[in-house]
Amino acid sequence: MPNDSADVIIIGGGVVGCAAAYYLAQGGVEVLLVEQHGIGSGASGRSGGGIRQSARVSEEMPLAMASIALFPGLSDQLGADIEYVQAGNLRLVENPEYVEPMQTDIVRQQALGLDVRWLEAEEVREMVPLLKQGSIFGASYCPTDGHVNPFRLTTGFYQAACRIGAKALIGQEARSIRQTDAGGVIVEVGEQTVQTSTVIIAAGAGSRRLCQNLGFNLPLTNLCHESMVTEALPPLFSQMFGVFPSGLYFRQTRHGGIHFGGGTSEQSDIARTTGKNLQATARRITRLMPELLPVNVLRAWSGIDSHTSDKRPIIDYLNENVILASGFSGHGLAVAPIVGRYLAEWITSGKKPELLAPFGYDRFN
Amino acid sequence: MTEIVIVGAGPAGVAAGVTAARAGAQVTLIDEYDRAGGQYFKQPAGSSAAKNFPPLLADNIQKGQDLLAGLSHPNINFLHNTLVWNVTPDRKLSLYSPDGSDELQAQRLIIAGGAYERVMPFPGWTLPGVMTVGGAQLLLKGQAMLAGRRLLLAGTGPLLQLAGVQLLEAGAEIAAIVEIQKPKTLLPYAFKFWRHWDKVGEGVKNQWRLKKAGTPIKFGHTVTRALGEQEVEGAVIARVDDTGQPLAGTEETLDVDTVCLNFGFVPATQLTQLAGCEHRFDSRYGCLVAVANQHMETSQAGIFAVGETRGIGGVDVALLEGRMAGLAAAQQLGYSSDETEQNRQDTLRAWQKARAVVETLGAMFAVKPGLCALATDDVPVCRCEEVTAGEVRAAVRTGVTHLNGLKPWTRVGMGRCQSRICGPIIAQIVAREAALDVKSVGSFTVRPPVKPIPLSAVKDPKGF
Repeated sequence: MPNDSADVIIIGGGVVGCAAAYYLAQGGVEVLLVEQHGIGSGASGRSGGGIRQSARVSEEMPLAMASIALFPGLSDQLGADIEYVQAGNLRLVENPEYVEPMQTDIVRQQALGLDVRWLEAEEVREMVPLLKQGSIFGASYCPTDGHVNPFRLTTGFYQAACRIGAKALIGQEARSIRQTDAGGVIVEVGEQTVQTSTVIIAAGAGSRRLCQNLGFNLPLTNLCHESMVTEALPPLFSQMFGVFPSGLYFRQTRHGGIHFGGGTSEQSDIARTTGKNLQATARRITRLMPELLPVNVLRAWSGIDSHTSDKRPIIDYLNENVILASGFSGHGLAVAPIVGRYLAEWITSGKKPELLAPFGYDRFN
Repeated sequence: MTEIVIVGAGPAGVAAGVTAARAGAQVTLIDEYDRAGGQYFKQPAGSSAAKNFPPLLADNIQKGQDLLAGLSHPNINFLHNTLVWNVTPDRKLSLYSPDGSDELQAQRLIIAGGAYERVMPFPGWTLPGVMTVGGAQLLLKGQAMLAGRRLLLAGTGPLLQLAGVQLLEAGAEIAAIVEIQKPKTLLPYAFKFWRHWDKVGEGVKNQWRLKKAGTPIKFGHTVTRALGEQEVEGAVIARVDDTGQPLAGTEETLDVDTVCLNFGFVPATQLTQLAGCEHRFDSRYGCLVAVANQHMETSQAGIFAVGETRGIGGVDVALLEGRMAGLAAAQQLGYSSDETEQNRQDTLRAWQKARAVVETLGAMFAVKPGLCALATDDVPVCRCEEVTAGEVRAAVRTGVTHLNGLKPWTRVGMGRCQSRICGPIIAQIVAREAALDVKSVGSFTVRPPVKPIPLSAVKDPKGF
């Protein structure tokens, strides 16, 4: 016999799970959030913090644009300073042969309604004088992009959800999910069994195994990335940066440290910080900003996230009781608020939100 | 490829290096500081001779010099001022020194990481004038300076009395030595010192010297507060209960300008953890220690752990373990020493005996959980990120039960010290607040670089 029940059980206390918990609780739904380790302990808390629409695939662009519209009001709404900075995203081009492909891509994004434009190298350097002359050949610039403190965003959603009635089991593993003959679901959490009608799997890198246990072999691959942060510095720049094509990203946090990462990643189910990529990443950022050379690195860390073969998430019902929201392929933080809201809408209204159409799991059948 | 790389030039590392070099191996010995000797055999600045110091320090400095003389062996290459900031399970080391940075591939690696002093936070512990006992010793030995005019030594363990005598001899005035353990809890261990007369003798001699100087030793007491606005102007001590919790109404104010703390030591396991060696939780120190066999080899083949990294052992243990690891590593590379089987057995027995003593000392002066009560909610516990005990406790109340889980909420352990100082303290506070044992709250993940290093050094491991 189950010893507890909830309308919806969310597996995964990352940013997507916490956002879903918040919007569901807001709609008066009884939610139970289950987190194996700690809130934000997976990819969410280890993320780069970029909140961007630009450079997304066309299918994801409307979702990202709808999500960014939520960000400016979030700190007030959640009652937590999420350190959101909407100062634009600069996607730097380091190599002249990529200027044309970048400009072509800007035209594609503009056609989708995004305010994004090409800036010549000198215009970029006017905005960010720290960039070394000659190190770049221009950039794409999307002024409505920005960055956030991923810890604060995740814990902000979590605490706000708890304040309006969401319940949570932290430090306990969802060991099994099984459908009952009565049309419900039983989830075993630690020593407890909880009955529900709907389960959201938002377990990031842990999603693949949970889906496998349910009999779904989805094309989810876990990749391990490394990033680093420096000691705190006085404010130097406020934009979020991406570099094309090296994959480097960086930003300055409110705390003052330059947080940077990107580049190569390897397939792994365990987050291991080997330091292997640190050298290349450090070389890339100091080539752009040589003035950072004497700045101390405080720590490097790694995280694993779940990737799909087409780099788009899967947000869909796997069966009548279980929704998967995973496979965000390294860029889930920015869309988490809107995904959380649409999950809540979908569950309460029974109607699939239009913008979630491109993320069905049947596209892999 | 370097034959044997040894990290840490304290007693264990130097003993390992000298032994391996004499057996014929090529040794690279690395230390973060300017001179070899570590904390225990710290040598005076310049060419100051041992005889210029008062007797107890002079003896220590001379013993250190005798040991360090072995480093002149032609097979030993000593890299000083060099930080090992990363190490991989396949024994690749990343080095940083102000002159440049480098990478080393070691055939055998001996990690002699030493230990950190444990402090327990209390109101006023961040005032200038509060330091560790080891800090006061360093000032004395390294710079021939007294930490203050009138000192309070507080904490637990044999170092308090030893340092007390050293400071007295150098001319310091010591208001009191306060030791949290009570004689009645120490007494049951007395029989374990049967046949360890040298240890008993040292302790008795130190107590006698302190008594002669009129220095009060207050057992069953702790420091509870440092007074002053800009710097220490006094300190409050109080009696403690059996868990180490101070008892209200027993406070006493002392007129001091300096408070020196030592609540025992925390093994430095950053490098053995990065190297992927197996560790076990030791409840006496409330933290992880590296696991090694009787040849000092860890679970990672070719990586050895000696001295405090394997669990606080003190100098005798460190010297023996260094020697044993040096021999074993050299032997694995095909060097034979002239050490006979009899010598080997003698060393093994001496080591077992020395470890037995420190195991007893470790149990006698184990961490007391009640001391956490000293860190009231407004006391900063993570100094780098200025996080208070209250903020940590509030995070625990949201459901956090693991140290790493605190980071999203509080930033503890994310500053310059990377939890080396605050980690063991916060573990105690979290465990007490969550009503869990310290083992189950885990430890902060160790990440490279183990200490801050400039981007220039990360970017280019071969020079700048």
